This record gives sequence, C-alpha cells and structure tokens, in this order.
Amino acid sequence: MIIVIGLSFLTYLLMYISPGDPALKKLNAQGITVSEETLAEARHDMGLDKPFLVRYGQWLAGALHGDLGNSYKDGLPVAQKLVHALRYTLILSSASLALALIVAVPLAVLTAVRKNGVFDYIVRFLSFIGNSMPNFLISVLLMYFLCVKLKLLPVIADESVRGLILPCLALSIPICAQFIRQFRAEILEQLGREYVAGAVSRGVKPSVILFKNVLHNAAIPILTIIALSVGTLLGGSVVVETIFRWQGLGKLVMDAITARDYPVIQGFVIFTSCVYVLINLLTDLCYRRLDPRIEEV
Amino acid sequence: MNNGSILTLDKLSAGYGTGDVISEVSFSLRQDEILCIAGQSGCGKSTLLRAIMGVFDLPEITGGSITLNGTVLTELPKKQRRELSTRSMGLIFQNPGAAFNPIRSYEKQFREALSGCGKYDKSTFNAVVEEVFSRLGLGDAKRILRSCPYEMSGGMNQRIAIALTMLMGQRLLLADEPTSALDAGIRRQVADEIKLLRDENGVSVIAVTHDLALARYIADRVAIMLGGRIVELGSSEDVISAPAHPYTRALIGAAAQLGGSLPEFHGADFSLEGTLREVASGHFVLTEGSA
Repeated sequence: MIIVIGLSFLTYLLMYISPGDPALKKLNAQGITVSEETLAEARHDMGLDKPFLVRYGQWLAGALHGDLGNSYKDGLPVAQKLVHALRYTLILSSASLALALIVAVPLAVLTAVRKNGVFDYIVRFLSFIGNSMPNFLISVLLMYFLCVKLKLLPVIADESVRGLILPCLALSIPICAQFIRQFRAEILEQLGREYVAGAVSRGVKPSVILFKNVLHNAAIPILTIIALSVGTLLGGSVVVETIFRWQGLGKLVMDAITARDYPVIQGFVIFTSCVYVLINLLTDLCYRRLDPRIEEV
Repeated sequence: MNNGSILTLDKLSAGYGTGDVISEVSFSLRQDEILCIAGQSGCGKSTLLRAIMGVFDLPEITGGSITLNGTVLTELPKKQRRELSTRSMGLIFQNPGAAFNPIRSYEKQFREALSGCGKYDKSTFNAVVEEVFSRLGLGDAKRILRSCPYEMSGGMNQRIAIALTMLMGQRLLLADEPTSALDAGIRRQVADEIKLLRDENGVSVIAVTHDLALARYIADRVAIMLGGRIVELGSSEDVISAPAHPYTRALIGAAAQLGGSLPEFHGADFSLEGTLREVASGHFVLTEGSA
C-alpha cells in the first residue's frame, strides 16, 4: 500500500512539473477559441488552480474510495475507462502469454535435453532472432506479410478472434523467444546438479527425473520470469496496441499522454503498480508452495 | 583375474576426451570385500568409480574391460549397461545431501528409485523401509520419509543413502569419499554402517578416500593411486603397515605427521612406468620393467 501511495505521489509530482497545460489542450481539442478568461475558467473547473498538495490530497482521498476522478478529455470516470480497456488487455495478454508458454516450454525442454544438437542450434538461432527484434518491427513485418501480401487478416484489430491474431503474435514472438532462452538455461542448470547424477545412478527413469525433479526445481526461477512478463503484459503493450489500434490499457495511456489527460495517466500508474504488487504477492505464495525451504525462511 | 570375484577390471583406461585420467587399472573385487582406494586429489579415484558405474556420459572408457559377475559391461550396449549397472551397483557421493533432490521428500525419491529397478511394491513399501531403517538405527521411518534432504544433517543423509542401497538390494556399493564431508563423530557411524552392509547383506564395497584411518578401519584391501595408476594393492595390513612402493611410504609417513589426511605429491616425483608385480602373497606393487 505504501509503495502504491509513494508511486502515485511521484507520478502526480512528475505530471505537475512537466510542461504543457491540460486545460489548454482540452479547449484546443474542442475547437474553442482560447482567451485568458476561458482558460482561467477551464483551469478552475478542472481544479488546476489549486496548490499541488491540495490537488494531490483531494485525488488521494477520492482514490482511496475508488474514485480516480474524471478524464479531462471526455469527462468519463477514469475507473470506468480503465475497466473497459483492461478487458481488452486481459484478452490480449492471456492469449499472448498462453501462446508463448505453449511454444516455449516444450522447446526449452527439448533443447536442454538435446543440448548442442542440430535442433538445439536451430531453436537457439530462431530465439535469438525473435529476442532481438523490437515489437514494432515484428508488428510491421506481420502486417506486411499476413495483411498486405497474403490478405489473411485485418490490419486494424477488431474484437473477433481474427482481429486478435496479429497483436497476439506480435506480443508472443519476443516473449516466447525470451522464455525459450531463459527456461533452457534454468533447465540446463538443474540438469547439471548432483541430485540428477544421483537419480541417474539409482536408475530412476529419465522421464521421472526430468518432469518430477528437474522441471519442478526449475519452476521457481521460471515462475519469476513469467511473473515479470505478466506484469509487463497487464500494464498494456503501448506499441503493439497502438499499431493494431487494440483498445487496451497501452493504447489508453498513450492517448492520455498525448492529450495531457492527467487523471487517466495517474489512474493507469495506480492500476499498474497494484498489478505488480499483486503479482509479486502471488509469486511469493507460489514460491512457498514449490520450495519448502522458503517457507522456513 | 580371480575366480569368485564380483567385479574385475582389466587394464581399464578412461578419460574426459583430453587424454586418459586413469590408465590400465586392473584389480578384482571379491564378494563381501571392502576395497579402499586412497590417493591425493586429482589422482583419478572418482573417475575410476564413475567409469565402473558407467551410467554417466563421462568419463569415456578408452581401453580395457569391466566384468561384473561374468558379464563384460564394457561390451554391452549403453542402455543395457545402464540397466545392469543401476540394478547391481549403488553410488554414494562425497556431498551427502547433494545426491538427493533437496526439496523432494525421501518417500517420493525412494519410490522413484525402487520403481526404476522394479523393486517397488506399494503394499510392503512402508514395512520394508521401517525394517531397514531400524536395522541401521535411523529412528522414526515415517518422519524421515516425509522429510526432504535439506532438512537433514550431512551424516543423516549419508546414512539414508546407505539405507536406500540396502533397499535396492544392490550387490556392489561404490562410495566416493563417503565420510570426508562429515563431522568426526558421525564418520565412525557411517563407516560402521558400510561394514554392516557388507556383513549382513553381503555387499561388496569400493570406497575411495583421503582418509587412511578410514581405510585401515573398514578395508579388507587397500589400493594406492597416483597419476591415474594403481601403484600398490594389497591387504590393508600389508599396504598401510608395510608399504612397498615409495609413494605409499611417503603418503603414510606424511599422513601420520599431518593427522590422517593425505598431502599433495607431484606425479613426477615417482615413476609410473611398469606393471603391478606380486611381491608377496596378494601384495602387488608397481615396478618398472615388464611383468
């Protein structure tokens, strides 16, 4: 809670000292001729004429009661806008994460077990490429081949499954490449441990060693890697959501930054920090479940 | 080499791809015999054990043969060799806790090991384990089975590893420095359990060690290794009380001064040429010239 309040204060302060006037932006966007009086009136209506600490205090009091204020841009409650965008982000994040895991886990296991084989080299090379390409480049390449050349999918994502495919692929490919490399390294680290040699010398079946011992023990660092990705995904992928016009949190916050829509930005920061805190908590609980030594510490 | 032997090594050489670490090692191990192999660090003792076990990718055997109960292991296909080795031989590691998955319960790991060698019977599992644990004086079997290795002391982990060897019914135990990581108090207990394994279960043991006191205490015969070769082999009385090879004499003299542990000697200080010759009944010494 202290972390979240601290973050909210920092964000509020950063927006306060950053250049640009939200009232002016709003009036310009509405096509109103801006005079000194109208600007002062708009600033008063938006509460921008109050001292910084008073504004922050009022915002914090409202936030603690679930009121994150209203958007400067369209006057809608920030919480409502966040919930609407979250739905899209959840769909995209869960699909991308599921796809990345479905591909990465078996490939990481196979490449670790067949280390330095042909298959390992091919997968490592491809994952290196996938890991090195930025999201926007993958998005553009996917659009070019799947939309422009082959005309298989729509350029602008709609709510259908077909609309989900491109942003999902664009997000999944780098995550999957990163997962393969990191999971493989963790599995190899476990395979080199002496307990594996002990199990081999006792004649324990290779499948039992791999699935019940090695993968279980490797699951702890793997969980950390996944948790970090979940946090990033749920925070919204600004680039991919903007390119494919996917109405998720990333696009919402990008639009809010462009329009100096401070309440939305502030609400987004609070939401993202809550997500990170929650994911950390869940990860800690999973650690305890997976490794009894952590429980004792 | 000898009739009635459980294991025979004939000019065995092995290494890790960059030259042999052990070279032309030959000896036989009789049923119910404890053979201790002593030597300083890096002389090839652990490599020898791993080569005999033969279930790991390395070391690679580059020459000679290993015969177990009449079957030449080095001629078997890899899979068959592994199956036979794990059914017949148990391996105890230097670091007692590390040979088991630290966060998996002993019960699960015992079941997995027994299933692997086809000796797991759900209905009798608890009773059999309790019986073996009580023979070793290990205490509450149910509590130990529920525990994970990280919860146990080094000595306890080593004793549990010995108990598992008993449960698996393996006829040959390969012990890699079985007491070196343990407190002085528990060393004697583990040494007694290795002897018990031999006395009550007829298990033959090859133990590599730095500890000449342990060798004298448990071994029927002692082999001294230097630079990947056996330089002296004989009864523990002959080798430790009347050493014939200059390296063995230097080792025993220095170990006595330093309180039992082996000092470091350079292989170049002693000749490793020649073959093992029998200088007295059952007492072999590496001597220059052909046999």
